[in-house]
Amino acid sequence: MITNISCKRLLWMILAVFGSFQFAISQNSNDAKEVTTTYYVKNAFVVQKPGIVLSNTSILIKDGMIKSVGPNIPIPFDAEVIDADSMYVYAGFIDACSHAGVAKKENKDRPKVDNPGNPPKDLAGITPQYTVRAAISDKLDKSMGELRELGFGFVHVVPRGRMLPGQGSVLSTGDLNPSASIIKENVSEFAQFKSARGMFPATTIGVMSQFRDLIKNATYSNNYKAAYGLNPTGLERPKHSEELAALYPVVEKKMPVFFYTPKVKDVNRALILQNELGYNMVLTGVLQGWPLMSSITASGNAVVLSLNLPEEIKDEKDDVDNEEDDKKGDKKSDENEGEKNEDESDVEKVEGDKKDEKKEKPKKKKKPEKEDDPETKMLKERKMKSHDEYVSQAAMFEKQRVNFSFSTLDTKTKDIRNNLLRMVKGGLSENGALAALTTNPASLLGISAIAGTVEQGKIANIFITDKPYFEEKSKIKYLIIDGKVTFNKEEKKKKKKGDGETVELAGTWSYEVEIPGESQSGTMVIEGSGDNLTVSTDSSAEPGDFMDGSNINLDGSTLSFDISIDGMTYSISVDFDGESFEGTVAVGEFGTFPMTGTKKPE
Amino acid sequence: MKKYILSLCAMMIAFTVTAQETGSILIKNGTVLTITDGVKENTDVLIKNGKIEKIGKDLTADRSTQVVDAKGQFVMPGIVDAHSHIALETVNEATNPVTSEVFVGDGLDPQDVGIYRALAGGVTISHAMHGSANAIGGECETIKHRYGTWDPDDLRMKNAPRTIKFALGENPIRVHGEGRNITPSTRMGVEQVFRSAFSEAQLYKKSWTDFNTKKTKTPPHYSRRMETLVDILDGEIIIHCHSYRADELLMLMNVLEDYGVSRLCFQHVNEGFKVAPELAKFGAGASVFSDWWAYKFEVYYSTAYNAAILVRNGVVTSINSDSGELIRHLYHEAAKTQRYGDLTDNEALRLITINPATQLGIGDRVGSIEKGKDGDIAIFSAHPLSVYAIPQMTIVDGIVRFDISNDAQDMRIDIDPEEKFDDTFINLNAEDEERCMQDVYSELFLGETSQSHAGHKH
Repeated sequence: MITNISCKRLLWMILAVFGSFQFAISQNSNDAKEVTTTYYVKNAFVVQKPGIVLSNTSILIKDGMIKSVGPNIPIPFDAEVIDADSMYVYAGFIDACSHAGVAKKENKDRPKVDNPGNPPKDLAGITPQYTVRAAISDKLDKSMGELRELGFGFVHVVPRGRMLPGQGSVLSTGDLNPSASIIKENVSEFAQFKSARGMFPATTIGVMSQFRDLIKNATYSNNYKAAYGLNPTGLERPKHSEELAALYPVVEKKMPVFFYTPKVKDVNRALILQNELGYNMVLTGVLQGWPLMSSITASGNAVVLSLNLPEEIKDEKDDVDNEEDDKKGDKKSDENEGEKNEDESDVEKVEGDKKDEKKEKPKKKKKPEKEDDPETKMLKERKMKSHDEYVSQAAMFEKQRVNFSFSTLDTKTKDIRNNLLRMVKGGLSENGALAALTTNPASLLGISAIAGTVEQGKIANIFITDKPYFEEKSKIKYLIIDGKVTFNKEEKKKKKKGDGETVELAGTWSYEVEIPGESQSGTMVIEGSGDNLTVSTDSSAEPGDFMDGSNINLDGSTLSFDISIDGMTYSISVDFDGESFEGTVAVGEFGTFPMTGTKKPE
Repeated sequence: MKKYILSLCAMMIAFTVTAQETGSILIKNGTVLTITDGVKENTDVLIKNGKIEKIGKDLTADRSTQVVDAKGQFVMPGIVDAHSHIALETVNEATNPVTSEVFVGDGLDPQDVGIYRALAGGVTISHAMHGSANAIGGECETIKHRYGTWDPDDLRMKNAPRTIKFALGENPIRVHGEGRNITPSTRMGVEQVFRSAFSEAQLYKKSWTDFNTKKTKTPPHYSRRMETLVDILDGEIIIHCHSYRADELLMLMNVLEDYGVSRLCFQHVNEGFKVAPELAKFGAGASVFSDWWAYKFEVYYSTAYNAAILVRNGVVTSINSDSGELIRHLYHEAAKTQRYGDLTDNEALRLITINPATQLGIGDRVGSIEKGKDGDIAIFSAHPLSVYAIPQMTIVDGIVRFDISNDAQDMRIDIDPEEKFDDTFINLNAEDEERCMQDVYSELFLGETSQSHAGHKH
């Protein structure tokens, strides 16, 4: 590889090490007409519902539905056969509450109102009449696609906003336009303790008060309307209010309030309001609910736990472990662990003369140079304990026999799977986790007839993994949404030039960097397999000059790395999405420039 | 895995230790400052299931009852603070001159370590108040310092009378008049806000009476703001009014007289000494600082003799903290009335026990060591009015909530696993900011902070 290149030109030299790459969204499923709408999943382990695994079972999919599930189904002549021998089939997950597909509102300046004590309802965040249909973007955006790639087949999407943003609907994650994706509309009223900015309600206590006012007035107004409907003679014509009318189904207990209650105080406040006002409620996005476990179970409310978790504090935990174990004199396991760690880091060093410093740093941390003072040590232990409580919350709810679901609100997509695995490690049963992602949310959202299990007659939103889902290295091989294969990892593999099994992105890519006034382009070649992929790039200025990079880091679908040329560092961060990627290149003091790329046909 | 199971077990235990639990405890051989029945040397106090059962010599209790030896120590009723903002997440809903619809009890924060610090000063009850941004602020909550709970409901003192915050003078004028150019821009305007609000509430009440008696058929618009004001007119809520100047004290009493409202306690009341007989005649309480003033223009004409003058004129007087720091040594603050005003020991102690309890409408339940009252006790190493006194133990409903011999370094309840240690130390050591005007600047004037407004914000 050539390293001596003039820095006067901006040359984009990219070298990367890829981990195995799971994201590959077919963007074109709408464009090409399907050859067939009949699929036959052959000889798989079918996880029909939590706890029920059917071996050597096949699934026939037709017209977007699961036609049959069983051991000896005949293969129709027009079926595309998916050989799923030794693979596992799961019902598409159901996200019980999410903002996926709903564009974030821009953080505009605080709106000016004449009377902050009585502002217009929409500015105050009181828009219960809004529907999510109007809020979701024309074409389902990336966040929905990302959830789909994780195995989610259905998402209960609620609008963004403040205290009462509007009503939520259940969408299929198929790559259709939003209107066609809605499978059940206006199933919920979304609520949160989010105050307005600089106007009433500007505080939590204002929100609480306003909520009471609204529900009370909706009740009076609803009753009066009913009385007027029976006999209007001599009665003043009812005044119409969009906001109150939208709350009629809530006060009639026909529509539940999905109250966003991440922390223990939110839970308490939501329970207080519900006790006073009496409506159906779902505690939603619960991140820290265990301290009020008895109140929650006594309330009988449905619970949607957050899939978010505090950042993992693994390293510090190991430290604490070691210290604790030392005290106990139980050194054997500890030593083994230590050896293993060192072995691993050795391996990395051998492999990684090209590898970054970044990855080595955390290893160094593991052996603190000096012991923590008692105060720091105590604080670390408390943090660790708290961390463990968050992680084992789901297990605690399971133990209390609460039927809970999961929500991705506030959860980074790339953390979802790992957080699930952490919760399982924290004591949640695999079946419990599966139920919280399938059957429980299906019944919560009233879609059990069409979703939640791999059974005849349900919408064909399923995914197929190479290993049982909760095994660490399990990967999704096929994704069938709305009866169509939207992701086929096996096929992608065949396209590669006989690389190792785990190669996903190997190939030749073209890239472009937009610099004001000009545009740089070049070629990027990805080679290798598994954790040992390499990428080299040249530029149109000097074709054929390939360069290596450093500080390579793959986080979900985002790859970041640096290349240094003549003392100048180019920091590249790109996000892969199927056959394309986009991101940025930061060039020292020159600024940051957009970078896009597409895969070249082989 | 083992660790997870362990922490699971720990949590299961934690669930069970909630609710408004009560305990039994026998305090032996202390000098008991009963407040209402003199000082009793070498006397025992037996608390059973949260209530004081016996006061006397050589008391015994069953084996399950914890026994505390208070020999050489002083046993007094738990201190009551009639003006505080601890355990609150939000203090001011400053968007309107009248916000009687809000209730700070909706924003309780039982994880506030300030509660524990108050306990460490012998304080067992505080009055969690709305701030003073509005002429008519929100309803307040009387809380018992049952620190250690996650559930805000555990803090509430059940069946304590409802109270509400009013405010006179510069604060509402600054926020609404200067801040937004609406009424009140003057002290006259503040009076008008009260009169308008009460008059509207009278009409509101009538409109609902007419509807409920079927005189009218269309339900009026329901308004919590008006509902609360009606309850004030009906005598169900005690007004606690932020105030300084004598003319304004008289003004509010006149307004309330016109509307037939009599339950009133003034807060701060720095010029109360000028109109003490008038306060006594109205039956208004006065909750004051011992010696704190000159933090804004209307608070210059003040004296440390204020409390003593009010007491001698028959006004039910208390000394409050309005601060997460002062609340830790209210017994010192009470002692200052002996230096300035020569109050007796018992008069001084009444300022932080039975008197504030009376002002909060809970004088029949707490504030003195009497049979049948709540088992709220503070034990001191020396007489609590001595500068050498150190709080030893604080008991709420018969349960030890602070014990100097078992005082862990980190008493926080809610630990953020993502918090950086530097932040932890900063938070732990942070001085409590004055909170009477909390939320006002951040909510209303983007870019301005309370710090940029020099001076005290009471």
